Amino acid sequence: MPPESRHLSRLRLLVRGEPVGLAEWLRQPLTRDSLLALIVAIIGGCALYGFGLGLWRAPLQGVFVAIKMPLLIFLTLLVNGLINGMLGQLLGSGMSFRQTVVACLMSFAIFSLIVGSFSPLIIAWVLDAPPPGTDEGSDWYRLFLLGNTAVIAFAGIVANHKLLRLIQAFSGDTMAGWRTLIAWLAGNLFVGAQLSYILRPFFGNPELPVQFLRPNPLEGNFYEAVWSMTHASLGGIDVGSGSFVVLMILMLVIACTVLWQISFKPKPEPTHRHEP
Amino acid sequence: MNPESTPPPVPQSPSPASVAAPTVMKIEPMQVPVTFPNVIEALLKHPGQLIHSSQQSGSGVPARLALGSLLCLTIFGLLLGTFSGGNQLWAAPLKITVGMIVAVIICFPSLYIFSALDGLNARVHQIASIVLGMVALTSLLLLGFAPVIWVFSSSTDSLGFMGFLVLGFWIIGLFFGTRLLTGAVSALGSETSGYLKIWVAIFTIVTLQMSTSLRPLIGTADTFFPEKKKFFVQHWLYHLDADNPPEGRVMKSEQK
Repeated sequence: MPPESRHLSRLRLLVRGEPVGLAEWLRQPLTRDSLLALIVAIIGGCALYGFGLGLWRAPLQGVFVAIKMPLLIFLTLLVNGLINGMLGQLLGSGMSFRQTVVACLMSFAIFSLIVGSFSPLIIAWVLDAPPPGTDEGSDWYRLFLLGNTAVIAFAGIVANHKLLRLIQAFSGDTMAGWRTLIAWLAGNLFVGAQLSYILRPFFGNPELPVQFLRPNPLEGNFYEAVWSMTHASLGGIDVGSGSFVVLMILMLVIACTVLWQISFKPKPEPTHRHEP
Repeated sequence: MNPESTPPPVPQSPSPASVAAPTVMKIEPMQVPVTFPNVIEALLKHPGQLIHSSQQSGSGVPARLALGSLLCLTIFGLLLGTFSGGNQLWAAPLKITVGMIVAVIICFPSLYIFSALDGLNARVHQIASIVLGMVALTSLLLLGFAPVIWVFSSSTDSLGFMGFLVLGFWIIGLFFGTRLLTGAVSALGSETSGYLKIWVAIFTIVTLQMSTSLRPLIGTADTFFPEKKKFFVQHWLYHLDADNPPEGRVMKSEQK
């Protein structure tokens, strides 16, 4: 049997998510080869899945989303790379800036491989769907949104679980793993949501034209849009009003409480600690 | 690079880089040359080494920390200024940097007294080096948040949203900065930390007041300094009331 290529063995290691093996990968000097495996996994997996998402609206929309999904991941990493690296070191992950970026890339690569593996199913589902603009199509569209939300949530949970185990294996500290993961996750979700808002559409509303980006993509933000939708469904509070500010204060208090909790949990002394 | 298809097993004892940050700060000499990247790494991983080096005469650590803080606050302010553009591009970084310096200067005497009340027997330059570390870490974290600020500042018109976003990042930065301060004071031999916690609350309030006294940091105004003096809670309450007209507030859409 011919020996397996290095790239394939790395991808297999990623999917297995074996924390000790991934931690060792992280400790090795960064090479173009090792980085390539992660980047290819992210571009390949997300592009395939993205194509499936946009395909129902129009094949061109599928191509657009295939470009935008990997872009979303790389932009999130770019915007959060600095703060993730700082928080990782402050919270005891033991990782350098470079290792932080590679660990996040690994997690996103696992996510991409999972959603990528669903892409044949999604494409088949779309090919068997009623066309946009019909009553059946509208019902199907809602089901499609729900199904894909489940796929993305599943892949996100698995990828973050693997990342948690990786940080724990790397730092040798369970609590440091939790603290770092929560900090990274909060930042990535916060920024990722806004970037996905800027890069919309992804699913492609049948009532709107096929576009790479909506007109004026940099107008408004995700959180104001969610607030407006909540407001509209509840009926009658203005964005920028006292209620909006009170909600922001409440979120701030919750964030501070979480911060306090993750930072001040007692952690066990490692039995084999030594000074560098 | 490992050419095998499966990576080698990890040694039982973790490598130095992988050892978790200790709970109690160690005041010890720096093991590496005092360069900018090493100072930043030590600030995040082993702040005790910086405190030790800062206390040695002739060390370049305090200068690097001070310069780094100024640089970080300026970049953070500049990106915050992109929200409104125009004069705010230079006014916001200037106000944030000056505000932080003034807050530290006016709070420093009380810190010295409060740390003594907590039983710390330290000299002024020792406390100064700890405060410098605190400011440097806070500023560094604000720099880390700067790209996030830029993403939101280029896509929203809401002063309220931006205000709370910046406030949130400011509190996170201060949280880690003051954690360094309490850790260092404890490592230097403080018996309790009650008075220090009161000082942390005072310092936080002073920086929040500074943001009101030097307003606007976000948005624009006709004058460089505000015409009316206000307490920060009063200022926030004013903006909580949607019926009140905005103070010197110009939306991006209006500027266009």
